Amino acid sequence: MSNVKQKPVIRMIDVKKRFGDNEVLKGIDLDVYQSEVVCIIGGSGSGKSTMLRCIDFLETYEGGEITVEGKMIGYGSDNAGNLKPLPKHQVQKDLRNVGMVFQQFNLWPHKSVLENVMAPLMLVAGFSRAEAKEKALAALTKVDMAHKADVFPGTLSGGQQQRVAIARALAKEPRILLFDEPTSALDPELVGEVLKVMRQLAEEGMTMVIVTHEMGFAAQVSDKVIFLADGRIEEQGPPSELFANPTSPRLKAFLATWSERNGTL
Amino acid sequence: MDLTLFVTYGPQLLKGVMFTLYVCGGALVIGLLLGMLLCIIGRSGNRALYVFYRLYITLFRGTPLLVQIYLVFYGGPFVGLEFSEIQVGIGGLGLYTAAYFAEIFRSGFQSIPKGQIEAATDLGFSRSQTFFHVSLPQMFAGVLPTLVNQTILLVKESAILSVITVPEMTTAATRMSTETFSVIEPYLFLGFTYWLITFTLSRAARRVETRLTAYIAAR
Amino acid sequence: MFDLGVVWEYRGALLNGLWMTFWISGISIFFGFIIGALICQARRAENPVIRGLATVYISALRGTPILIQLAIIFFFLPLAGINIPSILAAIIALSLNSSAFQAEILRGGFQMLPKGQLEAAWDFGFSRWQSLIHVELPQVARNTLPALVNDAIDIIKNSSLISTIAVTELMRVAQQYSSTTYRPIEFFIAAGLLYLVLTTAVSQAGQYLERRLSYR
Ligand SMILES: Nc1ncnc2c1ncn2[C@@H]1O[C@H](COP(=O)(O)OP(=O)(O)OP(=O)(O)O)[C@@H](O)[C@H]1O
Ligand SMILES: [Mg+2]
Repeated sequence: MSNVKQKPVIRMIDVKKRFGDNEVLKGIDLDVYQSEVVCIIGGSGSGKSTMLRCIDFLETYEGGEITVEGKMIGYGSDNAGNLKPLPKHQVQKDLRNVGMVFQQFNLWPHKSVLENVMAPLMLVAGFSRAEAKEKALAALTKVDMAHKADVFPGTLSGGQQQRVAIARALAKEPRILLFDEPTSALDPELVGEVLKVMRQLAEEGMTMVIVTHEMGFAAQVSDKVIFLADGRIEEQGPPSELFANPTSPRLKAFLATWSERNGTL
Repeated sequence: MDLTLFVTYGPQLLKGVMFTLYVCGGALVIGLLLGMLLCIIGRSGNRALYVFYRLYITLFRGTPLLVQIYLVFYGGPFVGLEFSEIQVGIGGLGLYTAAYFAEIFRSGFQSIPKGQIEAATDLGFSRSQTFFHVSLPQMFAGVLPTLVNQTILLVKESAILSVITVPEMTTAATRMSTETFSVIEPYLFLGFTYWLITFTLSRAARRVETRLTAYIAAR
Repeated sequence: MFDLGVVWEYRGALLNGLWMTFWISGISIFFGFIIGALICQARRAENPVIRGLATVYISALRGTPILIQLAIIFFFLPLAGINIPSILAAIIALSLNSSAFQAEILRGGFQMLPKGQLEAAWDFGFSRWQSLIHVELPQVARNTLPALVNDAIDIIKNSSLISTIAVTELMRVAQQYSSTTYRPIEFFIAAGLLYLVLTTAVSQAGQYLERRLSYR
């Protein structure tokens, strides 16, 4: 699906990020093209979440640059050509085509399922109530959750909540979706229903960046797998190569540990 | 502001502060003892005693302290007992605080893991041994910060006793105000002194709390 | 000896007092909430000066007796050339006092909110204001409701102290008639019961609201 001649929709160039003394990203380079599915794997604390959150500017980054659809995220040049932080609303505007799905769903518990999906449509996109409702129901139907439109998220199972969260992200018709371990908070038997929705989105051509521990899913769905270790991209490539013939010792060790726990891919 | 006023009235104000501490101390003792008694009554399992407990709590927590103070103040003579203002003050404040303490104790007992009591019984502790050696210390450790906070409220509420002219610090400062026609000095003195007492107590509460969390985390 | 019949004669005056207690407390709780919400935001502000001022405000009002606060407002404002009726002084004192307590309660509520809720709001392009109104406040209000109701009850009980600056609310009425009729016990019991009715009603209403607002 990837097309190298196209311009990347997400481009990270030498991105660096530190928390105090802890250098978490030590220079990340990544291109994600239209309709590509990129999975990020790696050990705990390797910086996967941080990398994803930098794209959505939930974390600031202090070195390198991230561009989404050609626009640099978070910073702009002033007249003298120096980079300076952009105002928040500008960043939000530049990220309008990016949606994020969180490990903990982060649905708003005081709003019904329908209201959760409608709120951004009405408050940010400026749709009327009727339009928002129509779009929201369409998005919920897509993840097979329309029948729960009127209940509060707290009454749903984890898998159902995550599907609602995906619907909420889909309703704003994003061109890029970011997922941070979308199935890690779920009971094993609920993982499948969420992965099914994500697989469907991939088939429809959604550009997706997914942090995941589901190697089987990554192998089947992704165009490119990134293995992150210690804040660097240790190895990357199409899943067929990366999983079959890992070259770096750390990736080999990582995959070996994974197979030990979960069986072979 | 005329600071020389404090030279003249210093001794009286200081005496007032001592009386505030004295009254609060007395009320604290009554509150703790009566509160514990009430709590035991409430948890005894006897239906009638429990109704009495709830009634006490509801009445003393649902009405203003001022009303209660007046009732103690006029109630004594009404049933033929003579109390001094100070006795009324300590008693009234104590009865009131006991209701809050009792509820605090109750929640403290409730949060002790059941297994601990069972373990004590298994080890052959008698009921009173279990109570004094297991339940009581645990309960106190759990509720100490809340107890201190309630004591802070007690100190602030004690200002109300000036209404029945208990010679505590608010009364002393009010007298200074009427005698000298000054307002700023006595009331700033009051504000600052009460704040100092409550601030000190709340700092102490925080220290106790960090100690306790360390102890609980260490377990 | 004990004769509640005397009280019955003056029931009109007592009920008027109760009404006064009710609306003064209500207004004070309302303004206390508005001011408290603002103070809470100031307490959470990034600017250290604003945060410091809010901390001092909260500490001063929570650390001193409301009786003293009442006297300070009642006596100090005229010194500054501001003459206001005692009812207004009472409302100001009760509101300010309540605002400090409500600010701390609300702050606790904000601290309890999972950070991810706000990250989701950011991701969907909510402005800070929208995120406050549509995501944070409704949840904070719901989570802090029991504590806020307790504060409301405290304000009702503390409103009895405004009798000391001659506002004719329930307590003042009871004092007046207990001295004219020499029946203090009866009048203070009656006043106590009326306060009890009010505080119980508020606590019941709070529990009802809590059930209604539960999103489970
Ligand atoms: N807000 C923060 N403040 C300080 N340090 C942080 C913060 N967030 C993450 N870190 C640190 O950054 C490093 C990378 O964290 P990150 O969450 O990106 O790891 P991860 O690869 O997503 O791990 P996991 O698989 O456990 O989710 C860790 O050492 C973590 O402790
Ligand atoms: Mg992570």
